Order: sequence, then C-alpha cells, then structure tokens
Amino acid sequence: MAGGAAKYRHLSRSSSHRQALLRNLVTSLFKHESITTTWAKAKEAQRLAEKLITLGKKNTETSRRTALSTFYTPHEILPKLFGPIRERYADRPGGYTRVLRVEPKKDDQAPSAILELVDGPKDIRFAITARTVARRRDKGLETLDGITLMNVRKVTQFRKDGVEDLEREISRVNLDGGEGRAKVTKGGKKETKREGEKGPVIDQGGKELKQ
Amino acid sequence: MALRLLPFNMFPQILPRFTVPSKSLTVTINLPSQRSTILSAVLRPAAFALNIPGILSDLWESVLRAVPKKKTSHMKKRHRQMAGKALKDVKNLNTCPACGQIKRSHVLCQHCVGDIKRQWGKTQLA
Repeated sequence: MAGGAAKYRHLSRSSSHRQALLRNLVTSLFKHESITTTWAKAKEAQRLAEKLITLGKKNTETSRRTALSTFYTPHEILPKLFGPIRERYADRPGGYTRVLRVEPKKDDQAPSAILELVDGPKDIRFAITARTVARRRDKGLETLDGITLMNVRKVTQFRKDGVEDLEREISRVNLDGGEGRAKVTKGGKKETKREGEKGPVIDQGGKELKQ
Repeated sequence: MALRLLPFNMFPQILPRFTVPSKSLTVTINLPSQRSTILSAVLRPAAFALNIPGILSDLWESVLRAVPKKKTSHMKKRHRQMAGKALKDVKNLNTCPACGQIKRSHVLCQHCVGDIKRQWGKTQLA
C-alpha cells in the first residue's frame, strides 16, 4: 500500500481531534470501567489505556505528571488509577483491558465493541462465563467444554479470590434466573476436569434448535 | 459593384439555414441598382435550400434516431444500479452457551449482554 503500513488508525480525524477523542475515551473508560464504542475506536483507546495502567504501576513522579496531562478529569481518576487499579494489576504482566465485539449499536451499522478493564466490576466476560457455567450445571453437566474452560482460566487467573468470586457469581445467576437448584461445587474441582467435551455441547445446541 | 455584392449574396449558399430575403440585403447596402437585384434573384438560395437540406435531412434523421426513445424508468435504473449489491446471508451463527439463543460467532450474545447490563444498572440504583 502506498504510504506504507499504518502504525495506528487515523479514525478519519486530524491529529488533535484524534488525540482529544482518545483522551475522552480513556477518561470514560477509567471512570466507568467499561465503555461501548465502535471496534476501531476501542482498539485505539485500548493502546492508550494499557499505557496509562503501566504508568499507574510505575507510580513515579513522571508517570503521575503524564497521567495528569492525559485525563480530562484527572482529579477524579488519578486517585483511582494510582490506587485500586494499580493494586488490581500488580501481578498481571500486561493485558489489562479487553475488547469484545458486540452487535452494532450505531445507526450506520458500524462494528461495535465493548472495551473493559479486566477483572473490574464491569467485566462482561466474567459475567457471561458465570452464566455459561451456571447453565451447564443446571443441565446436570459438571464438565466444561474447551472454550468455557479457557474463559474460566482467563477470568480467574489473576483475579484476587477469582474462583470464589466466580462461584458466588454462578450461584447469584442461579438465584436470579430461578431455574433449578444452585449447585455450588468447589471451584478447584472444576479446573482439574480438563476433558474438553466439545462434541456433546454442539450436539445439544443442535437439538435445541430443532425443538 | 457586382463583385462587391457577390460575397453578400454568397452567404445564403454557405449557410442555407440563415436565409434572409435578398431584398433587404440590397436595401442595407444602399445600392438599389437594377443589376444587383437581378443577380440576387439568380443567386437566390431557394434552389440550394431545396438541395442541401435534402442531403442533410437524411443525416439528421439518422442522428436523431440514435437517441433513447423513452426515459429509463425508476425501476429499471434501480435494478441496474443495485445489481450484484444484494445483502449477503449471515451464515456464521451458533448458539449462545449462556442462554441457548442464536448468536453470531465471535460476537457476544446480545441477549446476555443486555441482561447483564440491566442487572448492573439495578445493582447501581439499589
């Protein structure tokens, strides 16, 4: 391509406009823990957000100044970034944010995505994994399929009391849904069962479709 | 005088469409001599006006006939312009493991996301 490979998405904006947009996006992200935008904007904001969390983890005078000049409401967000968020990601070697595709939200059907802080209170992958596990247990299946196992690992790996949190969320889902009994087993047990049973799960899906 | 007048009288021959009565020409020249009027009568473009348009009319006919007879209808135009731009079928579908409803692959289930967001909203209000 003429002009070489793009190092970043220009998002059809001038440099200053793009910078302002990204600052707005990350300010909202750290304020609300999760934001929904177009996929391209989410990916660009993700770069900046990861860098800002790295600044938070460094926790030096320079990093504080850089963070101060990035956010639009720094006095609201800096205590959070250099407090709970820094502690949350102390052990995690990068990958503090997550971009998940969702159905288009905008009128022009542009591909949308959720940009979220991993292991935060608005972690949607955590919530959906809990629902998946709850549904499987409700059906009387104790084993998890490969992808759900991977998701469980991702969601609990660096989270403080991750397994317990997930179990609590699963039981809450069961109570909310009111579908059958809440079957809470030990979280460790689930992770030891590594029989990725993809076949049966897909078959069940097919049966349900027919019904 | 005749020589002088000739170019003026030649005009109608070159451009037979702009036929002007020769009498008016002689008046403008301010030389209403007997000879000039005779000359102009001889070189009257009437003879050419019959011959040349005869050839031209055939040409014009063929040119005019190469034009669309009717305006292209809205339907025809839209069909032509939208050809090959139909919506594609969505085939990358599977069932949501969390709720069992159909969702697009590699995209979160919209029902689950909606449910979860609603619950978060409730817990925030409470």
